Order: sequence, then structure tokens, then C-alpha cells
Amino acid sequence: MKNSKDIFILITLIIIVIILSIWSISVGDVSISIPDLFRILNGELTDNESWSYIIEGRLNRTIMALLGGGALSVTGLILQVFFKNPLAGPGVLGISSGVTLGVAIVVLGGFSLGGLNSSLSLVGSGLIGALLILSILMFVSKFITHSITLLIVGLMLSYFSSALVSALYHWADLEQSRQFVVWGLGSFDGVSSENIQWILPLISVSIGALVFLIRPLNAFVLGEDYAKSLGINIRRTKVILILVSSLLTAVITVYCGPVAFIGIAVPQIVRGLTKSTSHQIILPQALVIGALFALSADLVIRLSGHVLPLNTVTSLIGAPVIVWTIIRMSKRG
Amino acid sequence: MKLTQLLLIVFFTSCINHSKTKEFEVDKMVRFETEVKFAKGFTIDTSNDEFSLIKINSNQSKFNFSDSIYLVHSDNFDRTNKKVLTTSLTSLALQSTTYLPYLSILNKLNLVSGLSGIQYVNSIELNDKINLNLIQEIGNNGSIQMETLLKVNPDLFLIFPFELDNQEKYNSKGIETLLLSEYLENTPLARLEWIKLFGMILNENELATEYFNSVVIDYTKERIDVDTTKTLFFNLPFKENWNMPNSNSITANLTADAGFKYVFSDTTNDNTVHSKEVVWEKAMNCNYWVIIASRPKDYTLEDLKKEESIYSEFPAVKNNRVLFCNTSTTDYFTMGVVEPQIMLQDLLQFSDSSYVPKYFKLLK
Repeated sequence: MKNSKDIFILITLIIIVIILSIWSISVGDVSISIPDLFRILNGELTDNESWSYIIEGRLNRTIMALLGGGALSVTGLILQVFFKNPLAGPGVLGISSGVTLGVAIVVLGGFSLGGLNSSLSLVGSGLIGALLILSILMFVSKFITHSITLLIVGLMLSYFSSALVSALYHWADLEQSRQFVVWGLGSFDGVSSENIQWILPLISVSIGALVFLIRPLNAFVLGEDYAKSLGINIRRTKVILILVSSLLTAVITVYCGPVAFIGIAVPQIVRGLTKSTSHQIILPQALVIGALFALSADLVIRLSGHVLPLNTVTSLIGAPVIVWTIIRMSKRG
Repeated sequence: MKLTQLLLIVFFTSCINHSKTKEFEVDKMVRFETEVKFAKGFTIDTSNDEFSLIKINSNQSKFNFSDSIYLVHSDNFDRTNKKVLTTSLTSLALQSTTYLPYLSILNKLNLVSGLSGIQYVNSIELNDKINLNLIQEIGNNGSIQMETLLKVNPDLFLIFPFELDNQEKYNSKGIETLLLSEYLENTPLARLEWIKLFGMILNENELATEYFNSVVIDYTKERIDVDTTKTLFFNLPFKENWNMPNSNSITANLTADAGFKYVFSDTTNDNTVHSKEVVWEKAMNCNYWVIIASRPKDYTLEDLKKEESIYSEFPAVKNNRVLFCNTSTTDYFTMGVVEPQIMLQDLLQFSDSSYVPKYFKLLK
């Protein structure tokens, strides 16, 4: 019975996401009629040649919002289970800052990973940054018993990364600094079709791989000892979880900037929607709600005439959710 | 005990005498009759025998500011509560490198002792001085380092209008300031006319007027009427936003004087940021594209096409009608201010293969 309610919620959410996605492609600063929209999607010519590019831009932006929101939510969920902390997330634990540092080293410092083009260099350096922070957190977590302490360590790592980024500004020229600052505000816009062609399968496969981790994740909620007793390979599971969460955070952060609050807030919204503790339910809900959250935030930006940065919108929605979570945690004792 | 020590420190610190290191002498300045023809941001009053008065006013309703300075011609002039100036200016500090071209034309670059934004200096003379540590960086990106400014101790510190609130701070430390708002002018000739103000404060009136008049003649001779078939749009986007000049800006008026019809010329509000989508749609009906941006030295039309696939579809790109001013390799932001006649020529002569452009070149 409970499952059927959760499935109903999931299907309803998916329908809302589909409707919003169609709306996202059809609305913009240039008015394009629905018949023209379908003509363009069919590859037919329209009155103004720019319209096909405009629709392509909107489509790419919508895809990035769906992927970004979904990926960051799922990453947040994994990290919350992994560190047994409902306030964990790629932003709070400093993982996004690790990616930011990696990107800053390439953009502001002018370094590149030998031979790779700029896109791959950025993703590679972002991934190294994310893995570095996660490795430090894992190491430190061995000596920490209180969950809040780990968040403080994450916060300190975040400050440390930010300080290094600030230092890099001194070597950067004005244009590089401007680019980096704008990137830091976050946006789902501007990702080319060529990049979407490899981001889409990469993110899909990474999220798809998590299906095989549903059982270990369910077991992790009850503790590592319990997971061991079920015959789960703890070490291998941890490595996969770290790699997947680092990869998802790195790819999305490199292309959309360090997007705040989605990773930490969406799992909380999911927990408010369902009483289920099974990741068979939680994981797909986090994925869909994350996509919905990000797409809605992007639509708010577009409808506001592009005056609001992405992180302003996600923070306005996400911060109250976190406060609500903390109050709920405090009530539980 | 510690409290007593602290109180003593506070007491002695408060007794420090911040005496002004430099007193302005009342010297006679050469009186020079001149009039302001194009500029709206300043006036020159030479009607009094004892002084000439320069008044700087905001020519925009949204941001109000004003400043004034008296150029003294007589010993009898009452200086009380007035900002006065003598000819004996020995050093200047500048908050913007855009003031340099005026000084360059008047052969007064040697007066610069403090500058904000040294990295943007292209002048050989100034770079030589910088290399000899004769010019101090007084703060980057507009934020002024007070200690360095005090060390430079200029006779006059030329500042942006948005430093209005800090004026008192500088003045209280003995640094005399003057607000300059030449960048708020609407036409190239109006901006150039500020050279008359520089001529007044540097006592180079004749040279300033002579230069200004010669440029006005050249510019007016070259300018043509707008041809509505020569449609134009500007610049490049940054993420989803595309910054375009205001329809009554210096850049828009310069291109209008070269005969181009700016596609956003009907936009009267100050919002010059458009979405990419809107510009893409408009660009499909534009014959020309003028880009003022910082790009690598050997930037080509192919490089531009690589930035966004839709650019290849723009008629301006298809027909090789992209006029590009690379701000990283030209003196657009500096000498361009005092050479509007050359910029106009560049925009008019771009199709002439024998013509050598200085600022705007046809992107190939």
C-alpha cells in the first residue's frame, strides 16, 4: 500500500517534469509558436533561421537542468547515507569547493592536464579536486564520532579551497577573473550540443550504476557491521560510491558552476514526502525531485529576465529546507 | 594597568598633528577664453577677471554629483572654502587610465606619479616611467590604496564620480581631488572636448583647443548620414546576457556617424543587456557586426565562428562584414578617446584594402 502511494507520487512527479520540460523548451525571450516548435524539432525550416538555434539552446539548457538537478540530488543522498549525516551534501562537505579549486587552477592559473582539450582538462581537474576532498573527508571521518564535526571539517576544507582560489586571482587577468566569477554564480545555460552528447550518457550511466548499489545503500543506513553481515563488500562499495559522487559533482560543477543547496535540500524534501527508508523508492524520487527543483529554478531565472543568478534561486528555496531539517533533527533529539 | 596603557596610546594617537604636507599657493594662471560646444558634463566660466571656474555636473538624472575648481588669476582672490589650483602642478594621480590620452596629447604624461590600473598602460613613455618606479600603482580595479596615495602625495587626484563619498576622506588627508565624468558623455566629440578641461588645469589651453578644433574639423568632414540598409549590432555575449551600448552612447553615435543603423537604436531605456535569444533573432537581419572585445592577438573570423555555431548563419559573418576592435591589442580605451576621427575613418574605410586601420579592422 505504502509502495503504491510512493509509486503514484513518483509518476506524478515525472509527469510534472515532462510538462515543465516542454514548457521550458517553448518559452523564452523570443516568441516561437508551438507549431513552429514542432516543425523545428522535426528538422523543418522556419521563417527565421535563428529559431532552430534558439530551440537547440533551450533544449540543451533543459537537459542540463534535468541532469544537474538529478545528479546533485542523488550525490547528496549518497553522501548523507555514506557519512550518516542528513546535512551532508557536495556543497557542505567541500566537494564542490574541491571542484572549484580544480577549475580555478585551469581557468585562473592557466594549467592544463597535458594534451587534453580545455573541456576535458576542466573535468579532469575538477574530478581530481573532488576526489582529493572526499579522500581527506574519509580519512578524517575515521577519527570523528560526532556527525556535526565532519560538517565542520568539510566547511574548513571549503574555506581552505576558497583561500587558494582567492590567491589564484592574483595571477589571473581581468577577463579570466570575470569568467570565473560568472561561472561561480552557476547556470545551466551555454552547454553546447557536442558537450551534451557525452555528458548525457556519462551522467545517465553513473546514475544507472547506482541501481546496483540500492541494496548496499539500504544496508549502510543500518551501519557498516550490518552491511558486512549481509555479505556486502564494504571497501568496494565505498570506492564505487566515492567515484560516482565525485564524477557526478565534477561534471555538473564544471559545466554549471558550483550549484548550491540542491544536493543537500532535495534528499530532505524526499524524506518529507515518503516514509520509506528503501533506496528503491528514495533514489528515484531524489532523482526526479532534483530534476524538478533545478528545472523550476532555471525557469524562475528565465522568467525574471535573467537577472537572478542560479545560486540565488536555489539558495532561496534550499536554505529554508535546511533550517526545517535542523529543527526536525533537534526535535528528534 | 593594561587599560591605562591602552588609554595612553589612544590619547597620544589622537594628538598626532595631521598637518597638510602641501599648501596650494595662489599663483596667477593664464586667463584663456574658451567655450564648451559638445560636452554636457562640465562648464567653463571665464567671465571674471580674478578667476576661471570649472564646474563638473552629472549630465544624467539617475546619479547626481557636482564638483568645481577655481583657476586663480589674481592675488586678491578670496580662497576661503574654495578648491583652487595653480599652474605649478608637479604631480598627478589618476584613478583611470582613460585620462592618460588627454595628458599625452598635451605632453604632460611626465606629471603622472600615481595611477590605478598600471597593467592597462600601453604608452611607451609611461611604461618607461613605471619601469623606473616613477609611477606608483595606487590601487587596482578602482579601489584606492590610501597609504600608497599618501606616499605619492599628488598635487591633484583625478577621480571617478562614484568616488564622491570618499572625496572628504582624501581631502582630510591633504589630497586635493577633482571628479571627472568624461565617460558619461554621449558623443565622441563631447568626450574629446574634456581635453579643454585638461588644458585649463594644466595651463595648456592653446594646445588643447587647437587639437580639439582640428579633430572636430576632420571628424565633421568625414561623418555621413545613417543609411537604414546598413543595419548593425554590437559585441559578444557573456553567458546568456549580451551587452549592447545604449542607443545614445558614444559607441552607438560613432557608428551612426559612420552611416550604420543600430538595430537597438529605438531602445530608449538604460537597460542595454539583452538575452542571447533576442540578439540572435535580430542578428539574422543585420548586415554588419561591430565587436569591441578582448581576444587573442591573431583572432580570426574562424575563431569567432567557433565560439557559437549560430554565428556562421549571421549575414554579417556570411558576407564578411564583421568589424572587430581588439581591446587587448589596440589603444581603444586610451588613445581612442582622443582619436575619434581615426575610429570613424576605420568604420568608413574598412572595405578599402589599401587602408591601414588603427582600431576597427575587418575580421578575416
